[in-house]
Amino acid sequence: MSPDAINVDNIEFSYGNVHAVKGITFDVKEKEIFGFLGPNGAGKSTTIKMLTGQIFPKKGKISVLGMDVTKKTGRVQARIGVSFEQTNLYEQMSAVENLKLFADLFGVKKFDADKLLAMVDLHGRNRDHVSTFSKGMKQRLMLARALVNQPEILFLDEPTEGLDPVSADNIRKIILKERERGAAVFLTTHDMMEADKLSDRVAFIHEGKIVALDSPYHLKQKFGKRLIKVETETASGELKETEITMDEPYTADDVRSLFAEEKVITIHSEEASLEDIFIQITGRGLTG
Amino acid sequence: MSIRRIAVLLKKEWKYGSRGFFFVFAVAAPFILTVFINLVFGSLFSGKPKVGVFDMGHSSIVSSLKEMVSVELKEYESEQSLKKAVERGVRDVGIVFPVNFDSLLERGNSPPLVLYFWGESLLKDRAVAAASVLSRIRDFSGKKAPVNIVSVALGKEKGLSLKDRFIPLVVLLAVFISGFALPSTSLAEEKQKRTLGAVLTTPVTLRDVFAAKGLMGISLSMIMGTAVLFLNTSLSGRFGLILLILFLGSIMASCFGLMLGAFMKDISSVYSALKGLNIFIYGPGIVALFPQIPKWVAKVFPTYYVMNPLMEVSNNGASWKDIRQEFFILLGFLVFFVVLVGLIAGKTRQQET
Repeated sequence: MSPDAINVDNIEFSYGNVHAVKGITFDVKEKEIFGFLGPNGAGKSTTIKMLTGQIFPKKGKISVLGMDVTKKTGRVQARIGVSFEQTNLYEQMSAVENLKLFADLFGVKKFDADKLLAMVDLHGRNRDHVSTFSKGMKQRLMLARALVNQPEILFLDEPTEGLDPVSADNIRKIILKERERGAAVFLTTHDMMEADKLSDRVAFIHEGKIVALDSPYHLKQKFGKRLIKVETETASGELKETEITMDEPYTADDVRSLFAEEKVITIHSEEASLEDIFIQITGRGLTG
Repeated sequence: MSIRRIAVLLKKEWKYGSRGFFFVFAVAAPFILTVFINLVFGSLFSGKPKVGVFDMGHSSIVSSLKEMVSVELKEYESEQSLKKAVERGVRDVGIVFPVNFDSLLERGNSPPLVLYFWGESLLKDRAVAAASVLSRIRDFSGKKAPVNIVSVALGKEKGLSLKDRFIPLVVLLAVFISGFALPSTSLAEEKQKRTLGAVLTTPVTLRDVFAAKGLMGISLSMIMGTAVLFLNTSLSGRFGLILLILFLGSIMASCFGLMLGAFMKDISSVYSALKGLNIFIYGPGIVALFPQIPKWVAKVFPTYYVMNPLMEVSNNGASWKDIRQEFFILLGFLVFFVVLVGLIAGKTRQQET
């Protein structure tokens, strides 16, 4: 079993009387992509802030790369990269200047800003002021900034939010490449398909508590209901949709009788999505 | 704290902060005010000194003074009317030539010459008027200043001219606009634009950020303070001591700025707070502008202990001994403010972003 990149033990945080995180425990393995899913206000951002040393937990312990983040904050931060959901770039600087500033702050000696910008499809705009960039370009630049120190853990908060499908796909490829390089990735996203595709494991956070944690496959196995949807045409010419639950003793008979008795127009299987599972567990959607 | 990271942040502050509105304002405002004061109250583009005379004995010196181009001369019927003209500021200087003035000079005596000057007249005008009179007397007698000049200040203000009273306020503005407003607006702007949050996910600590922004404020504040003192021709005293007081004043200004920036969430809040805090910062300068306000009022403000020693040393040639009491009070304030800023930098991490 590979050692843990992140170890979180029963952490809590509150803003005044608002209890944002209520004792959560999890770990992220080395080279693992860990999806952290939950609706707005669930405690995702507060958790990321605690993991990256921006705020300290009121209770519990966080170990990042084997170090207590509250005691060795600087040493932890030197080895991680963070990309934020909301734009926080120096807009009066160029893309290269933004990256070089952070490379200098990290103390990176040999740094090739142009190469990094090419990786996130920003070549040609290297010397332009960030204020002239679109939201998607800023998002990509923030990802590039998170990579300047070749982090061992990459924290990505909604990295594909607001991006066109091609750019979003490119970002996903970069995330996978980073994992290949050896980085662990802590990913928060609203895009369930993205979480499903990328994550080795996902955690659902709801009202400051983790309500489920497993691989997408196992979560679907545990909570999901697989269905066959069949569209048929009746004698009077009307279209009718029938759902047949898979993995039941009667499934085969039901399908067979439909084919025998009615004219089948379309047939396809349907898996439960992570969104369905989240709703099933918490009683509410992720986008709310 | 890391010196390397502070240097990186400081370089960023100078390179990009100097493009901001507040930087330009902090640099321009004291210069504009200096030019404005000089235009309104004197020195730049000011005319000739206005001299009034009451000649009791038809002195030939008065006739020769009329021919001089360096002064604008007017004769008065009586000493009383001359004094009234000087009191009202119609004349900068009034001179009473006694009876037999010329014959007393010829006999080698030193006749008394009463010289009235308007309290708000410029020193330059007084000097030009006095020099003109003395040169004419010297020409007449062939001797070196054979008169006793008795100077009597007239008008409501018998001390500093209005221009001189403005200088403390301008110096305070120069030191505190840069030192106070720059760190506070820069810190609040970084919070508002969330760049502070990004920087704090690197090994940079909030103390590094405070140090860089504080140093930026201190350096600009020092430059502006020295420039404004120089422009107002007040750097006549001990230069080293002036720089030391300016340095401590700049630290105080930056401490105020950092404390304000730490508690404000955005630039608008800083602007509102700055408006309210102006009196706290510039109060001693305003008191200096109105001599009728008791001086102890100015002593209530911490910035007095920057302004007063600075003006005493630069303008009045005061020594270390003269200002040491105020200097130590200033030092006491500084220790308090620096510790407070350090505590805030440590505590704020918990509330950041």
